[in-house]
Amino acid sequence: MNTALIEAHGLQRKMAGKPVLRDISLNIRAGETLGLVGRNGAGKTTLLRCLLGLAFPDGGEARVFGESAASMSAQAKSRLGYVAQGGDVPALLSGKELLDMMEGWQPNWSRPWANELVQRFAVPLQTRADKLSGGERQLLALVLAMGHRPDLLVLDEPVASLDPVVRREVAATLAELQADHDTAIVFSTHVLSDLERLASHLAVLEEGGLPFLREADSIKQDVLLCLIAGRQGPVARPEHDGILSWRPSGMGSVRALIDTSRLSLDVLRRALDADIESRALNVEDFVVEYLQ
Amino acid sequence: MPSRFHLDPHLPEPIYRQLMDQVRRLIVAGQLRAGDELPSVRAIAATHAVNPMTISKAYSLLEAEGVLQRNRGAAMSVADGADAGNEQAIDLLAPALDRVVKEAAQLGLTQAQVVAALRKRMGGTK
Repeated sequence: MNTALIEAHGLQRKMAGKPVLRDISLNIRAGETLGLVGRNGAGKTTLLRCLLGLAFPDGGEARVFGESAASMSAQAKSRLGYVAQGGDVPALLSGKELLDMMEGWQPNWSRPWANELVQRFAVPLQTRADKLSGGERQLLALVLAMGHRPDLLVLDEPVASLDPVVRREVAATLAELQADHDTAIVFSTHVLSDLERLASHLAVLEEGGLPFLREADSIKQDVLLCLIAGRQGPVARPEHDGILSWRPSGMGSVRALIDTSRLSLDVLRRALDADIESRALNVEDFVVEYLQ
Repeated sequence: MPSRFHLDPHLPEPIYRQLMDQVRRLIVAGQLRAGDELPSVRAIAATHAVNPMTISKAYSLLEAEGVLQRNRGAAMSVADGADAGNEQAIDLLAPALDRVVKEAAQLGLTQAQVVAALRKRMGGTK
């Protein structure tokens, strides 16, 4: 239970000579949910594809269920669910045909559970996939990825085209799957507010690097947004790994994200001879502040 | 049972702490008594669409504090004696008091000033 279901060591990938992923390491265990956030083009999709062996890194390695992602066994694949960005499903088949196909392929497929998901998400089954709306297609892709109660679920922007009510239904269903099955989930998103509630861990991907990966609770507990004003004029950024971001905010003051588990505000206050006002953040505000 | 809890992921307070706080409050207020069973981890996780580990964490911490006990079948209930009196009620004010202490320091107020203001606000009751 405590072994990593998916892990990456020093993943690197270049496209057209430009680094897309830079030295990324992470791991996810049973029951955990990793939310991967970042701006468009930060490399989220590339990272997920490398983690699953769908794209090949130029350096480093990804492992799934202890096997190399590039050469996963059929058994490993049968424990995995994946929804590609936009809910990419074969265009010419109907939902019903796709469900029947999955039932033939997936040794662990559960027809009652899949039917339950179809009901909950109100997926039309008779319509050809390319005639579905973007949201319906995304929901169908979710059913296809979850119908075998996978041990590991990888979701690339899973709720991007869903309305808020269905988004909540999807999140509740994912929570239920985790409660029953200890499923590990990795999802990417640029709209955090919906899935924030599910994430046990949060990683912020910035220009292909992963400078920040933490438990979501520790972000709320330890990281404070600070307004720093030097008593004797402008202050310079000290070298310290407890300082997560630092940017001037006018009139000689600075907005900074401080990880108080590594750097106490009293120490900082004395070191800078500054007044510091601080407040706690929710995860969404943290991400916005961090990426600015 | 319908959830009695209000879990708001958008608050800066971690969800597991919100839940712990609310369980303690329900006990102090007499709405949960010794032996009363709490909703399952699965039920709360699904109702609020939050990670089940978050709920387990809150329950385990409350168990370690002696507030909850784990029954056979892993259901949690209010521990014997956890509902005795409201002496712990003052603990529930701790976060609010911490905020007052912090803001008083930021404003440069003395202890006497803060205590006097508090006393006045409470109508001088003992």
